[in-house]
Amino acid sequence: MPKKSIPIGKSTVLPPRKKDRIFADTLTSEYLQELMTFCRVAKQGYAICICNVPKSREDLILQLLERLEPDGIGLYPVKLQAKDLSLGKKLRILLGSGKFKQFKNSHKKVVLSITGLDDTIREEEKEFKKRPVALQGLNQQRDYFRTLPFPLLLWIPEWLAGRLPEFAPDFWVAKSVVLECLSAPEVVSQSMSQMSGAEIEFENVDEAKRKIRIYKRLVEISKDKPTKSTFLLNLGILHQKLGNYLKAKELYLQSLAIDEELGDKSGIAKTLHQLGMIHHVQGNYPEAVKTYEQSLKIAEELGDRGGIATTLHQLGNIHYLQGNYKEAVKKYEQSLKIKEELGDRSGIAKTLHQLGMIHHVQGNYKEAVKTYEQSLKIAEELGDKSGIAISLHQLGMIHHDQGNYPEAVKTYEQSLKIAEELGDKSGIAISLHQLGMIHHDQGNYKEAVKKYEQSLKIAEELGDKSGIATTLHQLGNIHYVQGNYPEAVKTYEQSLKIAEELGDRSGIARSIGQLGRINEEQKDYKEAMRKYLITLSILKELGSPDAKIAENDLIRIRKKMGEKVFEKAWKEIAGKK
Amino acid sequence: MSKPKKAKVIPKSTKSIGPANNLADAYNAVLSDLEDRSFFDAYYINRPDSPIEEIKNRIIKSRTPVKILFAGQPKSGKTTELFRLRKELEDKCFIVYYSVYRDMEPADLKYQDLLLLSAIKLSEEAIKRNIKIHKDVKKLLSDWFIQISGEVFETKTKEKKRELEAGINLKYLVAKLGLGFKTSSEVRTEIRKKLEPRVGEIIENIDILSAIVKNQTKKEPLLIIDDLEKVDLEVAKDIFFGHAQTLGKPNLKTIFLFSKSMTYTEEGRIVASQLSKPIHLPNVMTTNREGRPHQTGLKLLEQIILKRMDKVLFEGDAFDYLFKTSNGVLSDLFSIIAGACITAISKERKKITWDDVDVHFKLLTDEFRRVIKEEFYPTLAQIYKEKEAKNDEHLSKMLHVLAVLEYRDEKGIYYDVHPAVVPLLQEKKLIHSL
Repeated sequence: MPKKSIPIGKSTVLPPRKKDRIFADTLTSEYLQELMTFCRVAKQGYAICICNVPKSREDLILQLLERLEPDGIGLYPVKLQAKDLSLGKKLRILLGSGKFKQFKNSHKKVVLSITGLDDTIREEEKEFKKRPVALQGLNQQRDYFRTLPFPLLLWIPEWLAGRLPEFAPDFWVAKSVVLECLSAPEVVSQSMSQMSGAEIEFENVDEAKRKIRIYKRLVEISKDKPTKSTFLLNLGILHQKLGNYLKAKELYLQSLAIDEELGDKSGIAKTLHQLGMIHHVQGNYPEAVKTYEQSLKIAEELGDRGGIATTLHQLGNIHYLQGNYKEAVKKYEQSLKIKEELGDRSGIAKTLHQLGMIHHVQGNYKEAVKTYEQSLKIAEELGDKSGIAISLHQLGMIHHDQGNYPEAVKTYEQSLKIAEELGDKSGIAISLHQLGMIHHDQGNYKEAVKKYEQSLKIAEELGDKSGIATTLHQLGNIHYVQGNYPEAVKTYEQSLKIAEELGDRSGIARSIGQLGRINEEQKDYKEAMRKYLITLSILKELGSPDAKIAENDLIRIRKKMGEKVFEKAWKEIAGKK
Repeated sequence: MSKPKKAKVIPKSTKSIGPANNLADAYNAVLSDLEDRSFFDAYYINRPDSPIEEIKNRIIKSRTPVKILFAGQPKSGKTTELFRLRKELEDKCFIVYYSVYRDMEPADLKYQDLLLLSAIKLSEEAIKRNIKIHKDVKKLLSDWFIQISGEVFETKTKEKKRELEAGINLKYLVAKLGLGFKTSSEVRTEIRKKLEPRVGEIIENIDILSAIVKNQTKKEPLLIIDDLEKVDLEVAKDIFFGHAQTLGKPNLKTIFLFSKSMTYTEEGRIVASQLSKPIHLPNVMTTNREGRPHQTGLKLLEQIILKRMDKVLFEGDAFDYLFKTSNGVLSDLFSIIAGACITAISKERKKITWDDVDVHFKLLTDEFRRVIKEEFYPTLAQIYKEKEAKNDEHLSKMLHVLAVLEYRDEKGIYYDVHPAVVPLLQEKKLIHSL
């Protein structure tokens, strides 16, 4: 029975181009602008400024100070120490001091910039206080802060922003405005460690959506073309990861247009690669191969080894999907070699995984388990959730193949859980499909149909043709075992049609084989035999262990037809061929 | 002896403020404090859904020292409505107003504290407004306060001590006691110990003061205890439950702010039966039970906004979008506008666009994301779909953080989730995306 494997690397993403400086500057200047507006406009009240990285916060404060000074607005920094439990008390002492009065007299307007509240709270939390005194104090004195005759900037990190509504709810409500200076420093700190593509990685859907929002805003505000193109590409990748392929494609095309206008070859190569991936996941293989090869050519011209390795891997995936295993292994090994030279662990894990899949489909379970486990180990070391999910899934399939259902269900469900956390629709669809198959194998048809239909729905949403074909085939199998032949034929033919469109030979073989079985049941032996022969020839070419099944089918049909009739039919069919 | 001071009343406004015609002014206008008389006069809109008329009538017409429980969700505008009440009743009533947040330690609050603080505040207000208290009465009160405070704080100078003993400096004593009570937990514990068996005496003293005030001013004394709804549910239960009758004893009309969450508990219902049925300030309805626009509510919000700023400051559909962002939670509406003003000005625009509103609507969604606990989501989705809710602990917590909003129409109570929570339900696939 055909099973669904996850070709890994569908979500392989190229590291974004290095334009950190411009990138950070664009964002920072937007936040700076908002902070300046607050300082200029507000007469009183406090703004909560959420910022996670002290270095960026200090930069912002410094720039703010420099830019406000010419307008006669003085930014007065207040740093709370860990022992300062009461901000109110600290301010009262400060405001009464001669130093402050002097500062106030020499400026038209004063704004207080308060940092260190997080240190105070953290210090208290060390002592396991559930409700820090410092927060209670803020809550009680909210009116004092709100009605001081000058505005306040209160700098806090995001974790504290989560505590305030709970432990100082009235203080939180009484704020003037929240200024989120969050993403800039995060992005900066991440782009320092580049190459990991951290800015387009995410732990869960919430985070992905937040990043999408940030990038959307960045695209809107960036005036400089190269920067805008990078943002468009990253935004596209985020959408792609959430399965919004159409949106992603649209963004890639926009990014590509800019790269072409600028003659930015490296940009073109990267964007083409991503576009190729969209064709790829949507089953448009010829278009995908064409696009990948364009990308590969440019990467070779530029001597971009990382780019070459990634694109080779993708080309391997397409050969794999089309059943050209020999060709696939060749590409994977080329890719693996470069990745090993570059020390690209995450890339190595992905390619190893694919090699494992080829062992798997060819029935070398031992070799397959070994390779999957190598890949899983690296994914775990790297904390790569998506990689872990995929390897687990494959190991689940091996349990499944070996009839160890409880273990298989357990492993699939682990994988499903991670896919759900990551909002990986395609992963969810695949795991559902596999769980459907286990019910199927155990004769729980009702439950199986339910899971298949859930999976089918997601595959349709994603425009994942290969997924649709596979799941339709399984639904056909259920009609078949229930003796509902007309419905089964209809479903197999739908699946076959898609497999033909995709050039998916293993898919074609499996649907034709099943249609042959129905001919056999309906005693149209000659037609059945013809179909089995086609199936056998395809499976042999693919080196698939399922070829054995097709052989058995033929032996069986020979018995049913009788030697003579079989020989005659054989000649007819062979002659036609 | 201190010089007599002029009675302090809410200052009357002189200047008139119109709607802002630029974003900087609009920013300050939406964040202005309506407890400031001039802003109140400029911006306050009479809410047709407000129960203030009803409360006023009950206070004026009642012949008994009525006790009123005033409830509403956080941010629904209770303090502003109370300010209106204070303003409208200032000619008829001698109003004593205090906030347990400003004058007490809300995490550590007991019912006897409320009684003592009421006595202290009533004395302070009487002294402030120059009410003549007979020497003997003054002595009586001073003695009592000294007994209660005992050795808790020492009087520093001999002179002060003599004044105190003579019952002259009641003001000093009261101020000192109030401050000690607010700031020191030892003082509180010590005083409570002494108060416990003498609760009846505090009530007597309140009654004496209240009678003096009434006699001299010819006004009805009215006590308003604000922010009492903001204390933790457990603290609130502890204050009211089992002590409602004692709290209801003083011969003084009183408004207690009462937590909405409390009305959802068994204890709350018992308290209500002993004091009075809570009067609710509803959230402004912008959509009705069926999810269709509710014109009266929308009209009200529009008036509230346009009092503060000119409609030309909104571009295209930005103004209409605003109404979909907060379902009548006024302070969320204001903070979205304030944020949008900052964003628009930063981008050198003179008008607020749809995107500016959207940025701050999404920030509000992020606030909820940080606050709502995972286990609340299924219930939230159910409330979103059915507009009904099971009365349990989850509901009371979600009402408190405003993830769920309570509304009232002719059919009774119904619920909805805050619009900024809806995107979270969609993300979690608990409801369909629009």
